[in-house]
Amino acid sequence: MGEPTAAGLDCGSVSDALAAAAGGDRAYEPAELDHLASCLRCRVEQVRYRRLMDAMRLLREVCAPQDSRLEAQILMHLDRYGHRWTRDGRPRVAATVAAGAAAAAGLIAFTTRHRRAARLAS
Amino acid sequence: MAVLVERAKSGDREAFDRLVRVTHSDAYGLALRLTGSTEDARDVVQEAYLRAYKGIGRFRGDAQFSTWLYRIVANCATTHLGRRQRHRHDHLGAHDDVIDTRPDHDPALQGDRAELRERLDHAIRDLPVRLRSVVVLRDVYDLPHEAIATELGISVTAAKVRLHRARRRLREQVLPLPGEESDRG
Repeated sequence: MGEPTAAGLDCGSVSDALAAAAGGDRAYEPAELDHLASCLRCRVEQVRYRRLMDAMRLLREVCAPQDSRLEAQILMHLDRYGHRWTRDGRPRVAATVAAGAAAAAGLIAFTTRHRRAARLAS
Repeated sequence: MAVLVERAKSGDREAFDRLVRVTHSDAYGLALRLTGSTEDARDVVQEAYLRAYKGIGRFRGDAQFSTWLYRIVANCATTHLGRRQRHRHDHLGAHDDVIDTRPDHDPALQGDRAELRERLDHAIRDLPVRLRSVVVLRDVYDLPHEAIATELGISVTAAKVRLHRARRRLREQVLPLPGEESDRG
């Protein structure tokens, strides 16, 4: 560990900042920059974080081993559960709409019959 | 991709199937990194696509479809691992090594990179799940802190603390400073 710099920071506290700043999550404070300017150990650590971050980003481009059955399994899973969901979900909406329409038709028929009966009575 | 997403949103199952074809390798790669097991990764990906299928109508399109899918995969992986840890107290097994399918440019450089990548892959696998999830989602898949926190059910501050801790562990494992190597045993 390096000695604390004039700003009073030691390598331990700068090390936390290096981990945070590595991914651009935050910028360095002036005191941390002062420490980095005078501490070789922390500068080496900073470079290693940079290499680490580059390697992490490259991992995304590395393909996982292909599983030839996976695509078929996903589609089968969708068939099995997706269709059940569709059957449970959408027809329920359709049934509600149908029931509503039937109720409205019934109400219209009842009102019409009631009016006709009232007319005949008068 | 945008056209497929729009068609899938309007209920076109064939369009959704094509989205599966285009994105499943990447989704599986993320699931594999998060779970550390091919079997778990398969389950997570299947569940994630089912959730995506059910929820595609709510996808607003202000993010990329792949980013939206990563969030679902992350959420499914968290649920899956949480469920599994409640039932079994086993540790995550090692998953198959990943294969770089990009064309080689410089064999020597490629060799160095491959070696670094291998060490990094091992170090990521050795991380506790709570640290691994955050660092993979942020530093490999570039998800925002807020999205990571939401999908993992933690605060943004907690996500950042875990991320920095994970980075530090990885750096110490993969690229140790003089003096740290002897500490590693």
